[in-house]
Amino acid sequence: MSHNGKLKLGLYWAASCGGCDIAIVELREKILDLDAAAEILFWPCAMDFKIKDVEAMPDGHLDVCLFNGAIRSTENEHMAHLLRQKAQVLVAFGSCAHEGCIPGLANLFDRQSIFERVYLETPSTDNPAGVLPQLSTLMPEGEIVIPQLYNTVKTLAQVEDVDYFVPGCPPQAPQIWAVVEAILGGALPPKGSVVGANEKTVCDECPHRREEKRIRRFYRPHEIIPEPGRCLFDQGIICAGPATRGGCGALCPSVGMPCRGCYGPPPNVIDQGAALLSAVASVVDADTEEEAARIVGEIVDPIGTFYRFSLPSSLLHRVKRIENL
Amino acid sequence: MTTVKIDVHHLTRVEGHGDIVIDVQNGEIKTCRFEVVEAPRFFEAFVRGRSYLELSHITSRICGICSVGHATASLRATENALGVEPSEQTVLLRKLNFHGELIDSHVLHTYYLVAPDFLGVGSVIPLIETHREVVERALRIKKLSGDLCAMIGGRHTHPVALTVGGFTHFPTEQELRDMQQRLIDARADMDVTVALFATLPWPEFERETEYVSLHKDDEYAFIDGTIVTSDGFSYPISEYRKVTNEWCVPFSTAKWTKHNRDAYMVGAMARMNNNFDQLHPRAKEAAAKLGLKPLMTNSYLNSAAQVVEMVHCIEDGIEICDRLLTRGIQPEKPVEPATLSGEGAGSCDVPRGILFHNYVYEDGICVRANCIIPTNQNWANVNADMQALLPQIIDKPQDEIRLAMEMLVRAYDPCISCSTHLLNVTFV
Ligand code: SF4
Ligand code: SF4
Repeated sequence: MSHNGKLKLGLYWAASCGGCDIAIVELREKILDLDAAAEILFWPCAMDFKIKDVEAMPDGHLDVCLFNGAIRSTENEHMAHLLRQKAQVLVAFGSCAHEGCIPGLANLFDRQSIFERVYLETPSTDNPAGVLPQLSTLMPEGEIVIPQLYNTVKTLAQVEDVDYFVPGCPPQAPQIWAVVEAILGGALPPKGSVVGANEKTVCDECPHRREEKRIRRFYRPHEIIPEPGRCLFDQGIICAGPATRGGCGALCPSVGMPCRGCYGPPPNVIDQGAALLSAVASVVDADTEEEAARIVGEIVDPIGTFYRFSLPSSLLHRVKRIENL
Repeated sequence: MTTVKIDVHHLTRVEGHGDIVIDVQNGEIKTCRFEVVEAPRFFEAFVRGRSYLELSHITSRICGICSVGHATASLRATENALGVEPSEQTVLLRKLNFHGELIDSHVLHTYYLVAPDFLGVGSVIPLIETHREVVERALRIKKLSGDLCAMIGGRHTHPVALTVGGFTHFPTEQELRDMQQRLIDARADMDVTVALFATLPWPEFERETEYVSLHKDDEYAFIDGTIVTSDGFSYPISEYRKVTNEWCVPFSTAKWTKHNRDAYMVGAMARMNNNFDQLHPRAKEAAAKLGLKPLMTNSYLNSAAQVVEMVHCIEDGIEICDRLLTRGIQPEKPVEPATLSGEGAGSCDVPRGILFHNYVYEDGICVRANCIIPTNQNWANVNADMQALLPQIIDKPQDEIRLAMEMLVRAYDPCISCSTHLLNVTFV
């Protein structure tokens, strides 16, 4: 705590979309309460502080650092190590830092094929000489070095020791506030816990009525108007609710969209995609194995469906190219 | 002789990571450049293999601040590729949602990120003590816009209820009525906002460039329309590449764009330059109070133009609510694709400027994609502005130069996190 009794807080974004920072701004009038209780020492999106100010801090100077965004480059990783050193409590904030999130789907491809796609093949790019970003380029004023882009999108916990995890893409404001209150009240659970969520699944929070599921075919959202008030999964729309930790208030199913799993796996589940796959397999109503295989085979883009948010933190980590296995 | 060395490593109060590098030796400008420093995220590569129904949900994650804009442009690209014509109700609801995000983004930029420069502080936080009523007003507008987005999209950031061909959720008549009343009530806050920004000492600086935006004859265009430029060019959205002409440089992975000149500008000021006639009358009044009329050539005024657009979106939002209430709002099944294979482009003029998504589908699966974001298109123009400004202020103290440059870059509201085409750059 600082001399004025306020909590010393830092906020940082690595490879992220900015939505997690917006989620903090979404505390709205609570921002005033946050300001009364905490001193924000570092928040590049909203405040004038430079990296060197952080480097100059004594170790452990920040009481808490909320770190959002995935680790995609040497610079992201450098900041993760720096902030670990400067913060007593390091929190992986939001789905990217927690599990890699949607940008982690890049792990389906490797760096070379991504570079080729983005810099050479995109139809709008005029690049006949095949200019690709170089790690080092000699310019009149000196050498310009581009940090190395990793072949794999990593979660924060894959490069640093993390104290707590706040799930969500983005985390929802009431949950963020609950975490802030827990921090202020010194009521944090044991290290390594997921905070800002609950110990159940999205289904437990979902307003829809569930029955015994027996699925003979899966639908895409435009193929049927789901019957209001009835579980989407029961109606043949794959919903990640059973394989997803609760905490968001079942936002998506409440507006007729299946949950896509942004709050990550529920307690005691490591691999969210595998959990969802087994939920799917257990409800398929088929008499023969061939028929079951056909029904499951109709699922479009299974990896993108089962691992939408959690590929980097999953057991797969990334798709291995056959020749690398 | 002047010697200045400025390296603003990690410019703050922009949504993303960027560096300003200036090096003047004995009065000679050696380097003057804005560099984007952002971990690349390469959405174009990994949307391949995903289902057409997921593209808008995936690409909204390009940017958490323009997520509705990305989602909408993405849906329009998919719909154009697969022969889907959205209903009138869908079009109205999308516009209303879009207005919500535009207000949200502009209030964030003008109040939280730009105003502190003028009030002489480093962030919005000290203003809580010194200018509490300003902060509370900003929070009120922010709450309104966030609630508007959530009412239609199901949540504020990364909308969930928007889908190909329509929506999966609809606001009730009562919700629309309440929202309309809140928009009407927000006029008072907007009047004070306009008055406040009219008193700010906007830096003087003129450099004309080419201004690029969407255009429609019958409304202030944000979704669909034609691409127009202030140099007199006009293209259908499907020919967006004629405007963007992306090119690559080896020392950066941000792709640059150019059209008729070496650089062009997109965003609120470009839209207002091209579409002033289509602004709502109350927005035109606000423009007059702020001293804005086409052709604006001072890039600092982009933030003032955003204030005018907020007024426009509040007024237009009130009218859209009227139309929805008059025609009646009811649940509709999303329009089904006519085909599952094809190519299409979609465009929206999001808070930071015109944005393009372009997909090719085979059997409902995306096989090729291209996204061009506003900040990339502004990049060359930011640099050209900096190079034009520096000689004019070179004799000022270093801190003043630094602030003038930072404010210039911030005026563009560069959302560097939209990093589909960007890569980390640092200097040794
Ligand atoms: S709709 Fe989804 S979240 Fe709701 S009960 Fe069914 S499976 Fe669970
Ligand atoms: S319903 Fe699922 S995808 Fe939607 S916000 Fe909740 S956890 Fe995330």
